[in-house]
Amino acid sequence: MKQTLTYQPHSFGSHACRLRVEGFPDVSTGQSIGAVGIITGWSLDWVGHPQLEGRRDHLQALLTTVLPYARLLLSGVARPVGDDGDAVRIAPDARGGHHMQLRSGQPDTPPLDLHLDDAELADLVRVLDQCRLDPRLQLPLPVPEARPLPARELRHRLPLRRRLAAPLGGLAALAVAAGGTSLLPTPRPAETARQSNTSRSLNPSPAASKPTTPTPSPASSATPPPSARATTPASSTTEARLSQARRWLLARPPASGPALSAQVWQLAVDSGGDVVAATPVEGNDGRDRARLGLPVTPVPSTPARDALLVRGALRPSGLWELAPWHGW
Amino acid sequence: MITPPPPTAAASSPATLAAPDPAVERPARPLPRQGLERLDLLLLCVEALDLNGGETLLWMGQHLGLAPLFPNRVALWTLRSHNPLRRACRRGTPEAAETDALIRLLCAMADRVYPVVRGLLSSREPAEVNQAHWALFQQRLTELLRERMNVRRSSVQALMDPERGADDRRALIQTLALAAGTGGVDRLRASLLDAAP
Repeated sequence: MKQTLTYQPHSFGSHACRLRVEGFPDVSTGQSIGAVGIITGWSLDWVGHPQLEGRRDHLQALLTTVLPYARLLLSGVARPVGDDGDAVRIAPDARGGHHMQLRSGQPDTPPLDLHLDDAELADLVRVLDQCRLDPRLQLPLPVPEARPLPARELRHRLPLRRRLAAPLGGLAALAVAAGGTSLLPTPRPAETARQSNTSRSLNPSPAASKPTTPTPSPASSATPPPSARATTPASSTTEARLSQARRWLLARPPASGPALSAQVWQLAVDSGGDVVAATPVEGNDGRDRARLGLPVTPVPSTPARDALLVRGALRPSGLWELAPWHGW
Repeated sequence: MITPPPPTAAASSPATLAAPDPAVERPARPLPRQGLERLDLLLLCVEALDLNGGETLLWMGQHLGLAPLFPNRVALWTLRSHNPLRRACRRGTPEAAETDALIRLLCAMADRVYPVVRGLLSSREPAEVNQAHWALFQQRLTELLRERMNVRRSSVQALMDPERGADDRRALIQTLALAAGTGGVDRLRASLLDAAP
């Protein structure tokens, strides 16, 4: 027996919208006489709009389009639902209200455009809600589940000023920090090299720093330029350190004067190749140190671990002959 | 008249056929701060539309079987006082079951006042009548807001303003219209659970 289910927005008042669903109970699944398991058609009577009719697919399309649209409106997101090719498409109207487009499957049939105000949309939502929740309608009419919207879809709720405040503030802070950093003076290379040489001194005592500032003598004026010292590569091998010490000594040629009493020296060379301590092997060193530009610090009995002990002999030609120290 | 469109994937796929029944309860989540504010404002709108709204809320709660949660007026007021916009608001977050019951109560009340809500939203009503209805609603809502809310809050002041608050008041009424009835419970709950922007 054919059944007709009627849905209205409200049980009393004006019946501005009425949905009728017609169908039969699916007796093969044991449905009762009053139920509808097979929809043969439906019609929507709307005051001020043409009557709509269709089959189950169209009812399903209305449900899957109008109800998600209403869900979005509840969150204040006015966004179209449905594509241009879909049977039903609904979107906010620029003039106010809502624009629903119903597309026929028949060829050469133009789509039907309806302009709904908020009240008519609410009526439609209510009759569709009643239809999908009606226990007499015993067939699945699935609708997308209502889910909370993520924050990215609700950005419009925040004013543009508040939205841009955080990124603009971050950019401004970054610019201020970069500008302030660029204004800081960078250390000059000469000072850097001098500081590194001081830190390389073997003896932590104040006397140990004296080799970098030798006693006033003609030889002390022959201090190599800081840039040359700074560019001297540090080497851990004995040969490399010997050659570096040789350069260090070459930069301090012996001053002219009477014959030297001490021509063979025990030298302590640090890891940078600088001669940081000197002890004469023979003779009196009190006068010869200043003439040769050697440090006033004698080689300690237990030199620092990274110091290299060298035997240095000054030849008559004025050149130093250096060799690793093999004991007294 | 609409003729059948070609079957779409959305209409015939097993995934959509197996979509969960809206009536099935989902794991409840507590409402965020914005959701609590909006829920209380919507209830306030219902009270502005229904002169006897306070009593009707209690009666409707008992009718819906929510008497254990809202046995009296004080229990209902205590729960609604979690709205941070209230003049005397409570700290903490109400339980999800309580806010869910409040949502059901609101949807039932919106269903009850639906003819009035529809009249406010309809563009087919005479403009003078419509304006008079909106003015009456705005007056009642302002009185309730001044009585219960912290009027120093800018959002409350905006809602009380006849011009600035017009859009907000219309949005609240539209929410009541689209959330009225049993079918609106899921929609309203989902919108109240929206993430903070």
